[in-house]
Amino acid sequence: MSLLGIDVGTTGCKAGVINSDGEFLALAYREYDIVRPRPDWAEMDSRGVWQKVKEVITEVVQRTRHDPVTALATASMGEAMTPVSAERTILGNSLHMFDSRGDEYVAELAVRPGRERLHAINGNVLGTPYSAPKLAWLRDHQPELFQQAHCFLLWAGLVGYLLGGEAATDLSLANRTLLLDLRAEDWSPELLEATRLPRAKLPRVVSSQTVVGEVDDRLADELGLPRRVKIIAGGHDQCCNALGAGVVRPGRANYGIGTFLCVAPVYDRLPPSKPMLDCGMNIEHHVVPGLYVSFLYNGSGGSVLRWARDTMARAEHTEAMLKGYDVYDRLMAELPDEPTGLMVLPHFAACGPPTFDDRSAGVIVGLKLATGRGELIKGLLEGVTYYFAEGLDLLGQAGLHVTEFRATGGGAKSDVWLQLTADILGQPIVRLQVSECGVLGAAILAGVGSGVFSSAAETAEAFARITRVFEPSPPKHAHYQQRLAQYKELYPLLKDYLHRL
Amino acid sequence: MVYLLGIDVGTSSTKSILIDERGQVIGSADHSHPTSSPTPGFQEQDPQHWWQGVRLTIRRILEETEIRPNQIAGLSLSGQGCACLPVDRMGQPLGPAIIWTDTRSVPQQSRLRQIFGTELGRLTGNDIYDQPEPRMLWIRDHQPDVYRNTYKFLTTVSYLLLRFTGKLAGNLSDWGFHLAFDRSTRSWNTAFCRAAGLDESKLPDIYASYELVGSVTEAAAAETGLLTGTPVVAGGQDSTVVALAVGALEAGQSVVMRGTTDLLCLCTTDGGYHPGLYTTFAVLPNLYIRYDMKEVVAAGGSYHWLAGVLFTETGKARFRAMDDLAAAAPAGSNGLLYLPYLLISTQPDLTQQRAGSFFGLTTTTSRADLCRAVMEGTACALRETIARLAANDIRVSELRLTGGPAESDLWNQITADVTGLPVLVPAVGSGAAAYGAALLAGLGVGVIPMDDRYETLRRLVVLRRSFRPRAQFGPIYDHVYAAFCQLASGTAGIAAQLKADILQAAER
Repeated sequence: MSLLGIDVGTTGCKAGVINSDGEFLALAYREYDIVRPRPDWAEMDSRGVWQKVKEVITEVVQRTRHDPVTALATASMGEAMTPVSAERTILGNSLHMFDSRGDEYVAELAVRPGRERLHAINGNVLGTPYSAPKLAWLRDHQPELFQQAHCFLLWAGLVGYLLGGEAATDLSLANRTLLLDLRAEDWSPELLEATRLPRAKLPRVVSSQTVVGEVDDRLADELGLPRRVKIIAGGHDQCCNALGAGVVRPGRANYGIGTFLCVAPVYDRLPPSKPMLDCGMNIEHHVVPGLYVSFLYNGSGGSVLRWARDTMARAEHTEAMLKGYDVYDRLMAELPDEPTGLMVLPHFAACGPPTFDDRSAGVIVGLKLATGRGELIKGLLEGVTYYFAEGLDLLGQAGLHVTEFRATGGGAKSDVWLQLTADILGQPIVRLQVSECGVLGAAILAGVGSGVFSSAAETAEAFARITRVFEPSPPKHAHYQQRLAQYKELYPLLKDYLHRL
Repeated sequence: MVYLLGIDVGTSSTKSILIDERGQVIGSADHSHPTSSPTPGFQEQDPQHWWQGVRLTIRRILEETEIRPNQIAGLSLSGQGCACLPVDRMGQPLGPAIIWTDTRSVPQQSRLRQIFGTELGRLTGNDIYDQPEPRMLWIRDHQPDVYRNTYKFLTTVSYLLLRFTGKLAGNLSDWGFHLAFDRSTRSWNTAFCRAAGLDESKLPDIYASYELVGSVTEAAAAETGLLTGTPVVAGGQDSTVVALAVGALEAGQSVVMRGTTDLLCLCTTDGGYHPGLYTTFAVLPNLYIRYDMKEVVAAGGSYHWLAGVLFTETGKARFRAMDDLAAAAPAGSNGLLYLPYLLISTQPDLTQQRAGSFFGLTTTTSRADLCRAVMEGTACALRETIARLAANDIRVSELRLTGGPAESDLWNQITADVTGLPVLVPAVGSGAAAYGAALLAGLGVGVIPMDDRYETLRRLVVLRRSFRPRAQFGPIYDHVYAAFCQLASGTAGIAAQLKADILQAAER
């Protein structure tokens, strides 16, 4: 028997099959584009994405006939909700978190119930990305579609529903709507009332690992799946990723280095709302029952390195693609060993917590005639890491302390990046054998929900094999602590200027 | 047809140029010389290397042009300023020349500030920058034997005058910048020398830059191939000679020497002291040159640095590619702003240090934006300099640009647009100082008249191009400039901290 994990992301979807030892038997990936009907709108072509999801499932199932799949679960991006009919058909596109529609409803929510009350109930920091304001926009601007919809589903729930399961959502994704009551673990009547959204248009809330149905026979045949495969509630991709990385104990955090860089610390007690809101941090259910997770993120993670590649290594990037080597390996090899003399504010893209500033911009201070490309790139990565060091300091003040980071995502391949991160944060950074943590996390949930595994945390602990630990260098950490103090002055000093540029 | 010879001994090389009386360049030659740094902060050159460069370049020109030495009506000199070379009674060097980039005499500079306090500027006509007197005092303090045996202290140009004519002489533009010279009386400043403990008799005789000092000696003729008796004109410090070469001849006209760093030299009729500004004699009578050296602005240095970061290949083609890139970015570089302070400045106040910086980076910032922002940032730094001069009631009416960056017409146009001033680019390129020295020789020997309101001289200065500020870019560059000023002063604290760390690391 084997388990199928599906991961539906912003730019592509993956399916992976693991055996009961956590080994990957097959993996498939398809990309798709965000649809932009207008410059400030951003949609997922739900029918097109569903087609790609079916393709990746078909591909991995074909390759694992010898070890048939018995259960599946899906991890997905948050926020994007798709209208569906009672007959399991897609009625329209889903609005992506980058879509600017719904801003006026965000403004309403800021007044009633207000940021503080919202955080106290739901745990999220009010902003544009979430689904509720976008649903409200649809209700008022596309009333026919809104009325016609049986309900609106987040992507993990949508995949389960289209495969034949009930219309459901797990707690982690339900939280991304702004409508969940974190403590009651169900839709909040107060928030539904405040947004004037009908409960009937929302799916049932279940915890991850819940069985929500079986794959429809006709669809099983179409996809090449065995009959009666169990559909298990998955969850938010960030949470599944953390699960797959073994981030299942308080004090651990996932350090996800992708285009976005997202640090996700895990804890086992609900912290008071106010200190968390003060540092701009959300509170969300983990996909492991009894645990919670927060996200400290910034759009300027790997994207800063990509920017460096596109500006400073243009010719080599082309050459690398022709000759088949990794241009990043070459760039990272140029980084000097010592901390740089640069100070970088990494606001190259919109900032997440604690500032949520999308009008800020990046800064490099301290350039010299002798500053080479390697030092510049190291300075950029230092700046990106200071951002998280500052955020983690704030989290510490709110009572959440991280003592071990688990690196995931593309950046986790780089020794120098992980060492620099350990040196700045002053905590060990762990590298894992598995690179597909999101798919693995979803597959683990499928296994727990179908009774193959008894505990998600224990299973993840066993599957997330550590290949290397990057320990911080005490003298470098001491040096970086001084620099961090300077870094913290930079944004307050420059904020007004950067807004004007 | 008669010919004029100009020689410029710069920090890294010597260039000689032979021109005819119509200003046409007939021949030129270069020769580089090394700087040695026996200990950190020490920067020394061997005066024999200077003379060797002079000898070889003249011989090469004479060979290549086949101009007969008796057709050369005169020669003059330009040179790096502020070198300190002790020579004995026979004119023999008593050690290497300590050049302007040497920092060993910082304690002597501090001592002078202590002795004179706020009166120093008024007394000497300049604040302390890189003048040679503290180096003379360093020799007094550390090499008392050398000091005792020193008959005269010479600069680069003074040493070459000695080699050509046998006379221990200096010129007003070179020495008028120095602390020991009183510009108002055109004589040595006895009050300064006495209080500083500097023996006034160790300083040479001073001539106006266009005056004849003497003529080529037999020995010098034998070494260079010139005719014995060829007139030698006193010459000047290189920036003042460049001002002549580019036609900055009257008050308000200026030249910006754009090398690794920018140096703005402004012609003025006011030779007095202005706190924070520096003044010396121009090479023409009744005219002074004023400098603003508050910041060390890396202009060519920034472009060169950016080329190194953006391109793996080397060579000049990169700069043309960068010009093309910059042309594709809009005015204001999509909100990207650059501060061109890539070098440690000589600011005594560390907290006012600025640092090389980019502001306004996003993931969509392109190579084009980076290139254009560097051009705009250096132009803003120039505008700030001009504004500082204006705050002292000193008006700049036009900018004449020389050096590598002036080869970029886009950069020149941006400089005009940002500063709001006409930008003129003389045809004389990298050889401006040597060319100016040749003109000075012509003025000194009468081949170029000095009593025709410089009409002949003006005809000899050919412009390659000129750029008018374009009004439509005024508002956007006013905005960019305002941000530039705020960010430059706003980040001084951070820059100071970073630079202090760099200095500390350098000391380790």
